[in-house]
Amino acid sequence: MTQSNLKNIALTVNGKEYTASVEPRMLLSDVLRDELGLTGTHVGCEHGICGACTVIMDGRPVRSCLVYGVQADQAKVQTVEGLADPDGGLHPLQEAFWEKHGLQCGFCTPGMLMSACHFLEQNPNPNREEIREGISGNLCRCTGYQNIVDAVELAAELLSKNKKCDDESSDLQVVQTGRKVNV
Amino acid sequence: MKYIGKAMKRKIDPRLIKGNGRYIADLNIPGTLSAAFLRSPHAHARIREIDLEQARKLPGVVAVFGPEDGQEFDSLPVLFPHPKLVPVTQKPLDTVVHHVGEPVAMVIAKNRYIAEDAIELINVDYEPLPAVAHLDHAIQSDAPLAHQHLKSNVAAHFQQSVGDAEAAMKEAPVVVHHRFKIGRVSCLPIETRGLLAKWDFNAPEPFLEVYAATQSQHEMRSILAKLLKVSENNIRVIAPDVGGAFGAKAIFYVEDFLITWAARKVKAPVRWIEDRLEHMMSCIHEREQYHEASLGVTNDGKILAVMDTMLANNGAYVPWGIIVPIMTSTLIPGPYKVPNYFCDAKVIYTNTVPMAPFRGAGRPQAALILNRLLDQAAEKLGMDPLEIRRRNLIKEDEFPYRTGLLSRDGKPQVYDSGNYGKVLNEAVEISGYSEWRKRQIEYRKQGRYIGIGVASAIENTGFGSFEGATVRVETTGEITVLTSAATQGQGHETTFAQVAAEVFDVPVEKVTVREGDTGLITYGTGTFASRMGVIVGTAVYKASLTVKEKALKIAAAKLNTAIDVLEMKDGHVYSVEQPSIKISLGDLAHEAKGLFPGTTFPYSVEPGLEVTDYFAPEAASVTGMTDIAVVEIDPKSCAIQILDYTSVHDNGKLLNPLVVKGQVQGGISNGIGNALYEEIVYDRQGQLLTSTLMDYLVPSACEVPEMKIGHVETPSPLNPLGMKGAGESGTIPVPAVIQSAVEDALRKWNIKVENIPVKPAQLRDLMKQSKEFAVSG
Repeated sequence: MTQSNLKNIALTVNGKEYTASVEPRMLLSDVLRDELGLTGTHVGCEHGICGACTVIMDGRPVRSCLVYGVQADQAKVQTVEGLADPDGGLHPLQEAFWEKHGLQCGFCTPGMLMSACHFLEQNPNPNREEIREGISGNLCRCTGYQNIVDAVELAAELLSKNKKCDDESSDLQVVQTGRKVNV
Repeated sequence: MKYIGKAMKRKIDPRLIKGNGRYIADLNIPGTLSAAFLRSPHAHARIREIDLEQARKLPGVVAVFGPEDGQEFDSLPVLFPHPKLVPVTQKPLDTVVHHVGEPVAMVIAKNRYIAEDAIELINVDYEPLPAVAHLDHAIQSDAPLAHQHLKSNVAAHFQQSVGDAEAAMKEAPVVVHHRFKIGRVSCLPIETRGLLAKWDFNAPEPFLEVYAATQSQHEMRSILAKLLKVSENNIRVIAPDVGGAFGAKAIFYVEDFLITWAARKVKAPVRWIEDRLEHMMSCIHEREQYHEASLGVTNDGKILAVMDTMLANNGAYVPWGIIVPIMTSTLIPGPYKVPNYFCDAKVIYTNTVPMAPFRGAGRPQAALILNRLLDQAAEKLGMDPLEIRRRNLIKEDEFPYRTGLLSRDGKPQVYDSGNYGKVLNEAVEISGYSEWRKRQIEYRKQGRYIGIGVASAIENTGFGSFEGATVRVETTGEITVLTSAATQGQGHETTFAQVAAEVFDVPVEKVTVREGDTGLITYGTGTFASRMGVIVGTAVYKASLTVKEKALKIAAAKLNTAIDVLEMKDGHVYSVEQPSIKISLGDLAHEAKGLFPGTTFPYSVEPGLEVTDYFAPEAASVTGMTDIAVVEIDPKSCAIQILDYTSVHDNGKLLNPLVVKGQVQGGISNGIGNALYEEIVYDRQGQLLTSTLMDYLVPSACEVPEMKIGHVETPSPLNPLGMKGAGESGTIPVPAVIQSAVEDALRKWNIKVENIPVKPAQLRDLMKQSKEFAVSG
């Protein structure tokens, strides 16, 4: 295939509506990064194993490297950029990752956060083994996962005290956890 | 200490957890073109003919380069030369390819999609040449040659020796043997390699700016200058956020040259982001070695002699010389007293991806050998594996300890400091070793097979030659620290800020650390060999002290007081005698700039509240660690489960325990992958069989166990803060401890576990061959 027809797509990302003209073969990860400028979603393997590119599409976590942009037409997509509130207030998961040293190089982190976000929505009060299973679709090469498990555990605690992590919401509110730290 | 040694959260995190990181693929430089490479499907072949015309005609393609362009290119420089090494380094776009995945042609296009379309339009007529991939094949006299111009596949053959091992072995009352077959692994950072090159032709001379996922921006600049034939003065290399590296990004690759060369040629910025398939088939591998080793001990378990024969695969080229097998051969004695030692090492060329240091760099192999031999000896003597280790560990009062070997810099190898017995005892305590031994007996009665492994090891960290730091007080009173380091997640921006904060007594928030940019500081080496904390940390410390001294001198003059009554505290310099007499750091920075043009500089110091200092350590500072693992093996499926994992480290004085613990945990998880799951496999003809993450198994959160981490702090005398490296030590004892635990669990079958990784299928075969298995059905 050398020349393709461009398709117009419209999608909602983090509550904001976007339109783009893309080749049918263009991956959602590339649409997000290259067409919409949302480079927080990272690409680590392009064959659906590492999980770095995980985003929430219509309420479910997907590997954006295994989804074509045209499949996301009319979809609601949530990426890492939508987790914190616009004023910079961190989502409890983000706070917990910071607090527990749940990241080192930070490359797998956006995908890890999105998987964990969906996981906690499904299982708000998980044990450590469940957390490990919940994030097992996301590879991290730096941390050895233990601090990530600690962070998800802490996030569950923070969320239970405050506000739900709502991936259907188009406008995530700042969560007042009382544990906020200066950025 | 107020800041050094505190578990402080990282300053970099808020940016990264919001998705605001700036990795190479995220850079948005207008007009940037994309590159893609056509890679060889053959392990060894000559290119008879190549047709680039169809690719060139594809709309959106800007340029296509091939072997014809390669004729003018130099081979990559030989780094780490060695008198015994016959070096072959890679030549970009050569007409002969020496491993699957070697670049054959390069397309520059509007975007990656088009570039990859164009790759498919290139036709190559290869003349396949006989290839060799496996060590046991490569050493046969009739084996194909990995490089046709060489006489054999032996890249280097060298020996290490202390005393007379052969004679001592003959005299030893107890001698045990073990063979080791250690598989090959990939560093596998989650961010693959990548770089973006941009030339400014309107500069006084053409100026190259490179953004690279590199561990070593200064090394990259110097090699680029050589290959592109431009002055280092006209190259700036920037490593922005880098998504993990582990050795993969310390190497200079042909792609690094080709992208910068192509950007000059097409007069536009060019970016290349490696995909995972490319990573598996072209980014360095490590670990692959075979060993046959013997240990002679007295009847009470004291080591008399160790002998080892090593075969190390080095792949098709030697990008980092033979550092890995040298490291292995010098560290087999490790933390143990070995009066007589001999190692014969052959390093072999094969038509596979080159080997160079991956986190651990030859040391996990070294740790495996003597620890496992000690297991065999303990078994033969009916001694607890802990006891035989205790009897042979170098004692606390024996430091500095000379091993009798030469270090990698050719100087006598000296361990500066340590307390290996204490490290071992802590690990025994934390792991609940005695309880597990009791449980092991009980479980066995219930038909459950658990095994306990123990391994002690060392790491020589903080190698030279040097690193540097510039420390400056800004007129706002804030401190700027510029270093020659690059970071791939180690938290330098926090730990080095802690060092400066300690000296100036300002909050860590007031200190900004910048690194990963040749524009910041003239010279540097790179982030590898667990050396940044020790060397950059010391450079920051020294530079900060000098700046402080300068600030005090200016303050003394300005405040008209004696310098010895002045104290720096909370961002000010005070008179101890009269605290109302004070001046802020910001004002001092202002003073240090002089008054206004035309006036005479009023102070007897050099202008500017800024100092650049370099630190060149006299030797490596040596860390120590002991790991204890408990595994359970299902005798039917042979599935291996880790029930308990303990790791105790002596990383000297810790700058930030939170960060060091993270390093250790990460290292252990790499070690677990190495010990149980990960293996790059080639077939006999050099075809790569593990080119995706479906075939190459990276441990997930379900495979990496909960880890109990302990620290012992023995300060190093080699630097003022007593620091030792911490980046790699986590990985080192893991293969040894896992292999040891697995063999212990299957003691009933009396098998010898020789492979790394240890895989259930091998165990099942070994158990089948065992007599015990036949009896037990």
